[in-house]
Amino acid sequence: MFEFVKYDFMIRAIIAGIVIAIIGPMIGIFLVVRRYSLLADTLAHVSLAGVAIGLLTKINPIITATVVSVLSVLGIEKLKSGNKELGESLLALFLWGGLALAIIIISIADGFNASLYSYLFGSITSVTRQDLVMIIILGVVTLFVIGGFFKEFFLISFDEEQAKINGIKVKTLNLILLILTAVCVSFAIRIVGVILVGALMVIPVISAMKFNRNFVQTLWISIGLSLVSVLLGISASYYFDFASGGSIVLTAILIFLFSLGLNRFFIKS
Amino acid sequence: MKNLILVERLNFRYQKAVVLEDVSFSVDSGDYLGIIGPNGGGKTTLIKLILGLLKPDSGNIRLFTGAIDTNKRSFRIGYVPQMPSQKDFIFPATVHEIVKSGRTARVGLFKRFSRVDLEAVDQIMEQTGIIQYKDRLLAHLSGGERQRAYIARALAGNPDLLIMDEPVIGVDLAAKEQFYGFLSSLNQELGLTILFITHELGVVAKEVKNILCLNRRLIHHGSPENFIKEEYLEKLYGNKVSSMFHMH
Repeated sequence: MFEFVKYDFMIRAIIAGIVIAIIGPMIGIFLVVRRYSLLADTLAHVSLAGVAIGLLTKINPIITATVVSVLSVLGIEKLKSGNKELGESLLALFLWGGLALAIIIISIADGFNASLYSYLFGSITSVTRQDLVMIIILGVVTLFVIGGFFKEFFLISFDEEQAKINGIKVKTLNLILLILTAVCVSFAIRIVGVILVGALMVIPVISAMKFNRNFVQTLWISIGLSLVSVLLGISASYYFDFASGGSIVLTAILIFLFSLGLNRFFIKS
Repeated sequence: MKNLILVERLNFRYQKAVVLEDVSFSVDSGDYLGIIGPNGGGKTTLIKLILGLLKPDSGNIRLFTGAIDTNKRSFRIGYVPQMPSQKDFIFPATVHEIVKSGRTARVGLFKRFSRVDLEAVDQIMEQTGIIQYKDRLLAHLSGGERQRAYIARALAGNPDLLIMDEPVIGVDLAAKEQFYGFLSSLNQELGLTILFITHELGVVAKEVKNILCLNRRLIHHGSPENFIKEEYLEKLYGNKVSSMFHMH
């Protein structure tokens, strides 16, 4: 049954998948509770422009995607402070802008359709050794940052004003979290694809919230659900030749529906 | 007695509207001060200026005998904001987690909550009467319970100064009396300096040591007795409210 471990590409895909499954909800939970889920999706679409630049210039597309994504998140933050009335429309603006730029570059290059497909929808065969090293480094950095600043991120997410009054460096910590989001989104594209990468950061968290547990338990549950989604999704991708992004996200949605049912019939408030 | 807060010639505009004009006063350590005044009189703005959340157009605010410095004042101030509405409480956190977050700055970066911190958190939940809800999610609390959780959070860092913006909105009468009793014990027994905004004119006269009445400018700052004697209420609210106030 587990003969796929014989293949190097599968081992790379599974390790990368596990790392992404763990750090996705760790960052995602702070986006969800601040009602900022759309950010992950926006950065994913902006990353596509980065991927296109990478394919065009023959630089590793994950690296170019990360650069573009980080620059965008800094731009979003800069614009957000002076244009509060725009709200989520600002994110939509970057989403469309990223997509439009990607389409233009793709039409100029005219010829990397096959590889582009894997970036759009995720592909377990595409994780290179270099990608894997980068993803593992990101995983370690994320664990340290979220672990080290956990109580500060919690306070900022729950009540930013209170955090400011307490003298916590809200701006700096927000920026760290946003840059981490941007990098995580870009790296996860290999496995889940641009179109669905936001889903992996959001769906396990909203499923976990249906269990009505405290914040820390909600985080643990969401990591568990995310791991199940990624591992089942990658297996389905291997056996049935589905695009991995699709099978991972559909699994996550099935788990969400299951959590909804559980919440309705078994979990008391 | 030292000045805990010193406000000098404070001016603040929001866009073009003057919100606060030439406001000066000081608050001594150990004071129990009720801030009253009509809507739009600048009460919340004054509090946000004191907390450092807004910057004055001109004038000075000194806290703990130094200019406001976000790094140094940190956990010395406990703040209870105006309650947001019910729909804003989807946040998946328990009372215990929320109250504990009030000690975040005291614990410091890269450190975990110690046993001393957790004991202090339990103690404050006990005192505020919410220990029995400690594992309940914020979304599953009533207005009054949630209010107490926020007050417990503000007190969890052992502040020297407690600032509250209309703390008893949405709390029933019995709970209100209990709450004011609790506040005056904090003030008298622990020497905690308390500032709060209220619309309940009857309460301020009974409970507080001093009244600060604000209507863009400082109308009155002093004891409740003098405030009543000088009949500021009539000027601010009209005869009807004024007579209600005298009945208390």
